[in-house]
Amino acid sequence: MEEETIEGTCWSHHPLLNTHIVEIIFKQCDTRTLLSCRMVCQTWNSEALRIMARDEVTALVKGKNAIENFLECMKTSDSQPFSSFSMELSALALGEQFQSTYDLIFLLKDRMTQVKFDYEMPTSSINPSELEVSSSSDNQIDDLLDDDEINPRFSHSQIITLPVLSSLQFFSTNIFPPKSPNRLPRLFDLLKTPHLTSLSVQHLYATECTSTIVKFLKNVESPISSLRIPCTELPKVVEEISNSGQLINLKYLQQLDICDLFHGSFATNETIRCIQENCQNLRNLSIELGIRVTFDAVFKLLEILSHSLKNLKLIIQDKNLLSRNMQRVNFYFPHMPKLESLFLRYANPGLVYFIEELPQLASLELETPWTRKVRGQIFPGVDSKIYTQLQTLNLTEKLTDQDVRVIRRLFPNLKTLCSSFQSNLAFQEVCQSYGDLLEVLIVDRNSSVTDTGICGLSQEDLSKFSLEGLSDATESPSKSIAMLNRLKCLKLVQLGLSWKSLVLGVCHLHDLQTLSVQATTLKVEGVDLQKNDTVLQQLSKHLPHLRNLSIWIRRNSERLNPDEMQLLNARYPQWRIDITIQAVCSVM
Amino acid sequence: MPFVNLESSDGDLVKVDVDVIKCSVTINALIEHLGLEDDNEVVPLQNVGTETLHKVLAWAKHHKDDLPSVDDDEDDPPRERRTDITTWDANFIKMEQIQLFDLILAANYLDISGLLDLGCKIVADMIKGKTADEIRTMFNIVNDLTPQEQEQIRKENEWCEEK
Repeated sequence: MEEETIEGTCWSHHPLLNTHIVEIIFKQCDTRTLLSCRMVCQTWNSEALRIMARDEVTALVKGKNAIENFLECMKTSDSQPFSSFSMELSALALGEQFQSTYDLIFLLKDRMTQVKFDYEMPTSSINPSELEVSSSSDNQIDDLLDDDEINPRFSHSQIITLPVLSSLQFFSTNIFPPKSPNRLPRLFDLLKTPHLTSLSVQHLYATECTSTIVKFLKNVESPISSLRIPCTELPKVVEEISNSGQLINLKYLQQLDICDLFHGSFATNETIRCIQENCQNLRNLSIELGIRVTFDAVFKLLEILSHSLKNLKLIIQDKNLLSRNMQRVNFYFPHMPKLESLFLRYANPGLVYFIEELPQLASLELETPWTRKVRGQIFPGVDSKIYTQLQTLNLTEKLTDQDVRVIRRLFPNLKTLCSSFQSNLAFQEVCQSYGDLLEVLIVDRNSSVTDTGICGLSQEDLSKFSLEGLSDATESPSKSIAMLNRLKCLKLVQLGLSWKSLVLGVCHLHDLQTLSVQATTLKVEGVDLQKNDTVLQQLSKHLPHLRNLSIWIRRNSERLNPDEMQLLNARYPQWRIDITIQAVCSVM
Repeated sequence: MPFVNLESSDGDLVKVDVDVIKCSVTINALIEHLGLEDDNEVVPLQNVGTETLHKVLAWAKHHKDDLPSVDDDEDDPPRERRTDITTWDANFIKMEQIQLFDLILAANYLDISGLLDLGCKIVADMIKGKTADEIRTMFNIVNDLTPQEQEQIRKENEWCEEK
């Protein structure tokens, strides 16, 4: 048997030639390292190729001359393992060096299954004749592509068919002067993708892309299942296709995301009608409603999608007429037997929504960005039903103790709660109501929760508590966070609590794996950690499963000094510690 | 508390709390298969030396209380976090290369995924940014690629090289 040796030790096989071990190592390597590994030996070469092909590792083609270099390599070899590509196309790659980019795509055409084009618009290529084309119909574009006379740059370029491409993404964030009309680079009009199932077009700034989207949709032979396009494009695309006399096949579309990055483009009643008529089997829908959209139209849409929709993200634009209206508006969700997750962002304080017809709802996220004069409803208006399926509730509303009681009755099986609390009483209501249930609790930064809320002792009793009284920490006061004994994740986001809260409250949560607290809360009377780390000692002693400790720092004076950081790492190596300096935290 | 006696390839016996070594799929299966009811029964581990076995047990003891992770950190990038190494693990894994390889082989043989991942992560960190020559020298791996194969791979990789 061949033996491998390192400095006198011998194995029947070198451990790094064991394919199972090599596979685990390679799974943690980036593409560039994997490519280097190919040069090591036969085993590593074949394993690296296998892993890259199996995991569809993306080849990132970026940087100066990347297109030319990749093209050269592809020309000389056909054993590249890649089928997924991410190409950064500079203005040059789409302008002067257009031919190389074209040739590369042509060379990869039979293997490309996924591609993302992250591109810069070649401003120099915009000329009046092209702009005229951008607003022309699809037939005209096809004519143009066949006509070599119009644009010499395309004179030798044929349409490239990508027979196995299933996912295509266009992505651009470059900035243009406001008056410059943007459109997709012409190169993309040359691509034909008969088996495309997922199309995504994202631009930071308004870009004319109707004709390109139309072309892709018209050319597919199998139905598209995922579409992510600018909101305003959907009705235009559908109209152009029907004007051309062709039937648009969006019947099997499962995912539609039209919450785009455009400034000021939102769904209209026309958009909604368009979805209603063409995409009736959606499973996931993300949509932002514009100013004139009526709830009647939304209701009708949801009714039509009710038999298929599983995830819904509904954003009601701030300027929506309904939002300005402080009066109560009722919105009844239709019977949607499959809906599992609902994200609702709305600004109308008077909006009351009714979810009693959503029997499978497991996750409810509500975002209300306004500071309100009139308190809206954070939970359903009708409270006769009990939602036993709901496990996740995420709110930006401040909850009162009364709210918590209602929530407890409506959602008896919550495992994750993220919210702000108006008072200690409200917070203590959570502790009492959801003991034995909650696994994740995020107390958001707007909460009026103090030490008393967390540890259950009055300010007077707390003031008497001292380091000498630490033995008391083993007792679990009632009405405190200690009652949530199944909690695995606790985030006390920017709450200026004292160290006593942790010792007397949080230390009782023996299953805790993740804890997020303010830096100041870890210090006894503000003393540096290297002089006194009692709080950390207590956490370490009482929380055996704690692995992630996130420390919030609100201002410079709260920063931990190098000695303190060293102490944290040296004395508490079992914790993964991360420091968050930003004072901003999103709960969504 | 039930114990099991593990016999290293050096012939040494190590008595271990079953709860500590439950992370090993291999030993769990052996215990189940052999039906060890008597504390004096011995599980032979022909592929694990005494020194390595003690290392494995130290790791297992430290991670005894680890709960299966919950997907609770939606606002954190989970992939990156999962590959983070705690300071304890980082200190634990500081060892000579021979010991590291023995530990990886033991983790592979005993089927302890957490420990195997840790060892492999260290090797992955070691090879990051290194050339093939450097990797071969570092790990004493014999280059069995023909010059033609090497030239072919070099050409195929050229696109990714820093210019």
